Amino acid sequence: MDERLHGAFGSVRADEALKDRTKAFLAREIARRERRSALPVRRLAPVLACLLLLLVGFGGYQFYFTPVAAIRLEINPALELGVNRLGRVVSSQGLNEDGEALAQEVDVRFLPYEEALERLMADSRVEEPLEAGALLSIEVIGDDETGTGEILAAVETCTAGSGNVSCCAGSAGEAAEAAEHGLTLSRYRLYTAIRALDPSFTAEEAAALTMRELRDRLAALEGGASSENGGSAGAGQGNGPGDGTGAGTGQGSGPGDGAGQGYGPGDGTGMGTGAGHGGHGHGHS
Amino acid sequence: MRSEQEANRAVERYADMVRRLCFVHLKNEADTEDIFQTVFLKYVVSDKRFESEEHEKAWFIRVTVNACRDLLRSFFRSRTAPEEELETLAADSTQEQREVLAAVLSLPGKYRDAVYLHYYEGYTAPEIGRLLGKNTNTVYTLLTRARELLRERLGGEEHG
Repeated sequence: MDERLHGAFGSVRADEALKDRTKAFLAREIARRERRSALPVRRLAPVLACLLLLLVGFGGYQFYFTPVAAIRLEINPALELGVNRLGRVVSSQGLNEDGEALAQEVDVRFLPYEEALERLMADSRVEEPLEAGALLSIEVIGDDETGTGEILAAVETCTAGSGNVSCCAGSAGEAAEAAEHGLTLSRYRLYTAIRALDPSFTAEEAAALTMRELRDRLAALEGGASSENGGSAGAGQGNGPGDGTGAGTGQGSGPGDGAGQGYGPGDGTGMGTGAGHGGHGHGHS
Repeated sequence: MRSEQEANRAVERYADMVRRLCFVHLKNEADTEDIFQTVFLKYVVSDKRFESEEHEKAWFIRVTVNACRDLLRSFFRSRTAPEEELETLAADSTQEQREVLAAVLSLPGKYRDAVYLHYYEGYTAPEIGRLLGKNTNTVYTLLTRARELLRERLGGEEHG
């Protein structure tokens, strides 16, 4: 039986036509696959896809996490929020100890900046001094003017309810200049304004005063500067610029050429010809 | 991927064996051609390096048997494939050979691989067990039972 089975199986063969068709099919498949793998793009496709994914991932990360503007809040807690291109807060950093605590306890990351500001302003550490009359300064810092302008407008809208809020926007350069003096932007602006009237005023003093005090000081200087007269020895003649509305309270201090430093009672005795620029009083002796 | 030369060499060497394995499983030429394409294409795209010809041959047996099983498992195929006459499937065989083949095909499916591998390819029961993924004792049982059935069918005690 073994032989019969062997012989019977042996009689079954693959005919030549079947073999030829199979060979032709294989030749076609081999050629097709070789063509396909010869294309460098095909071979590199997985690598390129990975690279692209990496780039998109990295780019997306960069896009999202790169702040394009900063919002600085200062009342007593001072903190800075980094805002990305999409208007979301991506970083929150305290600028002093209280600010650090506030930044850590009120998590505003990934919120739209309007909402972040609302949350921060609702915190008792900001709300209470604000209600007590302290001045809240909000600075928007960024080099893209339209962007910062937009944020500033939004900030002004969302703080419109409180009267003691001052908002300003500035460039990163200006902010850096302010930082060099150890001051925030709005503080630095007040400082330079005060310094123009009172060169003896220092950055340290500016840092020590509250915003309210700084404003009051500036207002006083501006008022006082107009009531300048030469009160020094000799024929000092004060050349006041104006009409002397500074009535009494003003304490203008001008650098006299001689010893001319007049503290005027301010009734507008300054009659001189020279118009003191920007409220500077010149005492000629 | 292998070259066209390698593919042609494999077709020349294993076509008959693949054809016979198809024969014990399938009942028409179209399915056989499908299996040919599947098996030899698998060989072409495979990076497998064979230690010996025996190793390569065993690979072909396993791949062909599995391909036939997959094809038969497909519900659609099993319901629609036309059955062809033995005369067509074994066109070159003599009448006597066809009788033997008919007896083999009348065996239950699980016996046929073992019968072919043992009686034609000369594999032992343990080798067939390894090739088909079956227990050696099971293969012994299959072969004994198949022999009995074939004897009954062919009445060939005197030939055995």
